[in-house]
This record gives sequence, structure tokens and C-alpha cells, in this order.
Amino acid sequence: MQNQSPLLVVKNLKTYFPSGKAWFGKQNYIKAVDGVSLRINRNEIIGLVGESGSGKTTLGRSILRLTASNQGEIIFKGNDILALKGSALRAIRKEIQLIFQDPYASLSPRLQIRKLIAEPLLLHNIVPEAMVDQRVSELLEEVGLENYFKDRYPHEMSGGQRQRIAIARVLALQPELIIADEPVSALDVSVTAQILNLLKEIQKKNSMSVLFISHDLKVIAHMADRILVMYAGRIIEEGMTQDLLTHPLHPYTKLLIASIPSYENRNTTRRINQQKKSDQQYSAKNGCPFVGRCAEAQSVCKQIYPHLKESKGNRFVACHFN
Amino acid sequence: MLLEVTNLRTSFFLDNGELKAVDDISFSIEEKQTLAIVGESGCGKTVAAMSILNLVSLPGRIISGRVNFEGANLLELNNDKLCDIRGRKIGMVFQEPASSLNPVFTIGAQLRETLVRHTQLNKHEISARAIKLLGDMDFKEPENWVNAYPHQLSGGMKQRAAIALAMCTQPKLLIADEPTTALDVTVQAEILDLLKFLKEEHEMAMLLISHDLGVVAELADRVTVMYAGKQFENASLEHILTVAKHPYTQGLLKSMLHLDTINNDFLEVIPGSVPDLLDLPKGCSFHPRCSLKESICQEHVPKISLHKNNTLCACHLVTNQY
Ligand SMILES: Nc1ncnc2c1ncn2[C@@H]1O[C@H](COP(=O)(O)OP(=O)(O)O)[C@@H](O)[C@H]1O
Ligand SMILES: Nc1ncnc2c1ncn2[C@@H]1O[C@H](COP(=O)(O)OP(=O)(O)O)[C@@H](O)[C@H]1O
Ligand code: SF4
Ligand code: SF4
Ligand SMILES: [Mg+2]
Ligand SMILES: [Mg+2]
Repeated sequence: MQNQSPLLVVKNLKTYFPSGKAWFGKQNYIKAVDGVSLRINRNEIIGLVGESGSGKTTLGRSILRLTASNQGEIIFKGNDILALKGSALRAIRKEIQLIFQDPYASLSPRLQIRKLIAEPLLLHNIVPEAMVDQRVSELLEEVGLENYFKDRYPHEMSGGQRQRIAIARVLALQPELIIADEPVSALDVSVTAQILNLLKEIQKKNSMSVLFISHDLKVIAHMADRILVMYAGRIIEEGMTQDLLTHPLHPYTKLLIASIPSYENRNTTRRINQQKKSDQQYSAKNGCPFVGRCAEAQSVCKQIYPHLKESKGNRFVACHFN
Repeated sequence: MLLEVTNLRTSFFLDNGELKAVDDISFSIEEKQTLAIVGESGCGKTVAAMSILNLVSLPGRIISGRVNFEGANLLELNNDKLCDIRGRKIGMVFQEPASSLNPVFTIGAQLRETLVRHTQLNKHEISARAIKLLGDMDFKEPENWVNAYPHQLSGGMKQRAAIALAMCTQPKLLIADEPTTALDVTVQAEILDLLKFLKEEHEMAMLLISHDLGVVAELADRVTVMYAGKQFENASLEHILTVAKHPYTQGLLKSMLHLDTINNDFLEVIPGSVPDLLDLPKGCSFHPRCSLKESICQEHVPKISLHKNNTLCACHLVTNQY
């Protein structure tokens, strides 16, 4: 598996948004994605976890070129996506599909489900027109919906059912990579479990790769083979799921794990707050972006930026002391 | 008993029918105890809390029931007395801290106003108390933060300010409705730590509303499970986590994610989703989703009954022997 060529390789990707007005002096930027490198193998689920605002959505959208990047390479099956144009770009777009948190926003409210699922099939000439209805039925079955849903409209369905429709539309194109951006974050507990099972099932059945984005480490732990932890636009730790969760290296990963509410934490109070010296979050200009919140910080952390480097056992971490 | 809710019913009278948001629920909270109401969205948790405070407005109406707080029925008190109890004895915190904080006044001004209204302290003491309250809520440099406006605070700080406001009068009971749902997990942990500390320190009881069993496991002593407006089970936390008898409670527990669900397993799921409260299934409202249902379940609504260990359960199959 190690020798097999990866499906997607991202190298030093940067996506910045201008912020504030550039009246005098220089323009400020929000460095939403700030030098991210990653690799997604075939038939693998990669979990991308981090707090809100860490840049997860921007990274996903940058890979699809829905958001323009400033720098970097995105190599999908050997082709640099950033260099593609016209029909070549459209062809790649078919092979990488996005699933959002809110399926409602991506489903046209005026179309019946049969039309919504037929749309991608027709657009990309996936099956002959005469076969479309048959294929729509199969797709509905694959995502666990009865055939009568064909005649419904999105607003007549629950959040979980709409997410199933969004998944059916993605499956219609048989993509090689799915980017699932917080696909269960708006769903109830019981429905979340259903959708996670469905995503796992279709991934296995179709041998697809998934970039699974979530702010919830529990969801990521359940889904991912390998985990990337993102903080302030950068990947700060990477490892195989079990390794990373049982032996987290980066203080931020440790904090994420310690923060998960549980019965075991009943008698711990102030596990987090004692570490904080100020409510004003200090961020170092050149140093570690996590230094203002880090329980293990030393003076070097304010001056020198810790690059992501290989640690023992196929692990990667961006910290001077771990 | 600090709070005793008996046979509470609240409905919304809508154009297309009576929506029974809270349909005959009873529970009690002892001094210093934390009771959690858990359930998926739309099951009536918030309406239950608002009903307890007698804060339901049209088209909603409290139809029947008693809410005894320190011996007085809140549903029968005159408005002055009710406002006094809500202001001094019962604090409230919501999912959106914005609903407790006024955007045009500083945090300090809001704290001082509440202190003026409900305490006998002089001006100097009030200013000092406002600063101390923020300090108690883990604000570092509270003397500076009293002068901040809500928009100058981060999400977690806003929620801590909202809790400070609720704690001004040292309430006997704090009602917290999804207090951490909108927050990042690390900030959620800060708030959970804080709530645990305050409960201990002030010997305060709490009514916690949450859809997250992890949060409940960390804070609650007792749990009541709601489904589609009805109370399905009411038991100690340990009972719920280990030997819950109601099929819905069991289903929720099985769909719950832990870090150690790391694997390639599928989750056991409850099929379907919460029904429309205006179109409830006949009999047990859970029967279309219940794998254990029998014919009686489709005909008769199960009554909630008392079992061993002071446990309540509403299921035809859970008999008195258990
Ligand atoms: N279109 C945009 N214009 C300006 N700033 C943006 C835009 N999209 C995202 N950002 C900023 O980029 C950062 C990362 O955002 P995002 O990728 O949405 O993070 P996440 O998905 O991890 O919550 C945030 O500071 C956000 O405000
Ligand atoms: N103001 C209102 N008007 C009509 N229906 C309402 C109103 N408030 C709540 N409901 C309904 O009452 C039910 C219970 O709502 P709620 O208590 O907010 O659920 P939860 O807090 O458990 O998510 C839902 O079906 C909701 O649609
Ligand atoms: S480099 Fe320093 S501040 Fe950054 S995570 Fe490591 S110990 Fe903490
Ligand atoms: S009463 Fe019947 S349908 Fe309802 S939870 Fe019990 S077994 Fe299931
Ligand atoms: Mg996002
Ligand atoms: Mg609610």
C-alpha cells in the first residue's frame, strides 16, 4: 500500500483572504490555509479536524478550486489541478465531489428528488437517457431511501434524508474522492450515526477516498484511517488514527482530546483554565501559532516557528518539544 | 425538594392543529442536584424549561401541571412574585449568550444593574462585586473586561459573561439550555469546568438541557429522557449509562460516539428520525423506530411507571419486575 501512488498530493498550499483596507502600507491577509501539504491514498478515509476558523473548509474548497489559492500544488492522479483549464478541469471536478454540512443549500428547492438525482447523471452523460430513471432508483436504494421519495421535494424531507439525497447525487458521478465537509454537524445524534454508517458503507463498496472534515474529534476517530490536525491554517499533527489518539504528540491535539466531555471527566474541574494566563490570545509573529494557549510553551516557542517534521513511527508533528 | 414538576403539559395551538410540545412530564430536583433533560432536537426540552419558568407565550399555552419551587407553584404566582423568583432564585443561561447580554451596554454595566436590582449593596460594593464575579468566571484581568462590550468578547467569554449575569444573585437553581452547543470543544470544556466549579462552590442545583450525552455524563446526577414531547425514562445518571431499560435510551447510548469507537465498525443505529409533533404515530410515538415493538405498542400509549431504584420508564415491555 505504501508504494502505490497516492490519489491526491497537496504541496505547500496557501490560500489567503485580504482583510481590512489597504490604505497606507501593506495589505493584511487572513492566512486561512498557510502552507499545507498532505497526501490522500486510494481507498483511504483521511480525517481533518480542528476548531472553527482553523481553515478546514477553505482547504477543502481550495482542493476543488472553488476558492482560489495563492501558491502551491494540487496533484490529482498526476495532474496539477491548479494548472488545468476548461474541459480538463471539468473532468477532474467530476472525480472529486463535495458533501456539505447543510444539504438544503445545495439542493434546488423547486426540483423533485427524481430530477435532483438525474441532474448529474444527465449533465455528465453517465447513463443513456432511457436508463436514467432506473439509475435514480438504484441510487435511492443505495442511500437507503424508498422509491416513493422520487416524487418529493427537498423541503418535505428531514435533514438526514436530505443528506442522503446529497450523497446519492455525489454517488451518481462515481467520484474517486469525496470531500465531506462537516456532513453530520447539523444532524441529530441518531441520524448522525445513520449517515456515518452510510458514508462508510459507500466508501468501502466503491473503494473511494474521502477527505472527511469535522470539528468533532469523536466523529473523526470513528471514520478516519489517518488523521490530520489543523490549527491556524496549518497541519500541526498527522498520524494513523489509533496512534494519534492513544499517543497524541502536539499539545493542541492533547487539548482536543482532554476537552471531550465524558463521564471520566466528572471530577476534573478547571483542567483547561488553569493553563490560561490571559483572555487576550497572544500570537507570536514568527513563533508557534499555538504559543498563547500552550501549557508546554518555552521561550523559544515565541521566536521560532516549529515546522511539521517526522517523528518516530510514521508520525508528523509541528512542535519544538514533542 | 427544591423543584417539583408534576404533570406538566404545554401545547402550541397552530393553524394545523395542537402541537403537544410537552406532554405530561414530571420530575424533581433536589438541592445541589443536577438534572439533565436529554433528547434530540424538537423533542420539547426548551419548551419544558420555559414552561417551568412560566415563560410560554402565544400560540403556546401551559395547559396543566404544577411547578413547585421551594413550596410555591410558579404557575399560579402573581407576576411580581414570579419576576422576583426568576430574578433572584433561578438563573438562566442559553445556547446563544447573545440572548442574555445586551449589545449596547458594557458587561460591567449589565452586572451592576442586576446587582442594584437584587441586592442591598452600596455603589462601591457593587462595582467591586461585578469585577469579582467576572474573576470567578475565570476572566483573567477582570478589572479590564468589565468595561468591554459583548461584541469585544469571544464566544466562550460571552458565555462566561452570561453565566456571571445568571450568578449575580447566587441562585438556588441554574437552568442551562444547551449552554455549550454553539462552542468549540476546547471552549466547551472551559464552560463545563466552570459550571462544575460553580455548582460545588455555591451548592447550586442545575437543570441542564442537552442533546449530548457526553456533556450530560460530565455534569448530571439524574437524567430524564424526552422524546416527541413525552418523558420516556427518568433515572440516576449511572443507571442511564449502564442499565437503561427504555429502547430509545438504549438506542441513543449505542449511537453515541467515543474516542475508542476508533475502528472500522458500523454503529448500531436507531432507524428513521424524530416524528413531526403534529402527526404523531398512534400508540407509542417511538414504535416506527423501535426494533422491540409489539402489537400493543401500535395501539396504546405506554404509561410512565415507577420501577425499582426510583426509576421511571414509559415502555410496554419494561415491566415492574426490572
Ligand atoms: N471567503 C472568505 N473571505 C474572507 N475570509 C474568509 C473566507 N472564507 C473563510 N475565511 C476566513 O478564513 C479562516 C478559515 O475559515 P474556514 O476555512 O471556514 O475554517 P473552518 O472550516 O475550519 O471553520 C477564518 O478566519 C475565516 O473567517
Ligand atoms: N413558538 C413556537 N411556535 C410553534 N411551535 C413551537 C414553538 N416553539 C417550539 N415549538 C415546537 O415545539 C416542539 C418542541 O420544541 P423545543 O422545546 O424547542 O425542542 P428542543 O428544545 O427539544 O429542541 C417542536 O416541535 C417545536 O417546533
Ligand atoms: S512549539 Fe512550543 S508553544 Fe508550540 S506547541 Fe510546541 S511547546 Fe507549545
Ligand atoms: S412501548 Fe413498544 S414501541 Fe415503545 S419503546 Fe417500548 S417496546 Fe418500543
Ligand atoms: Mg468549515
Ligand atoms: Mg432547545
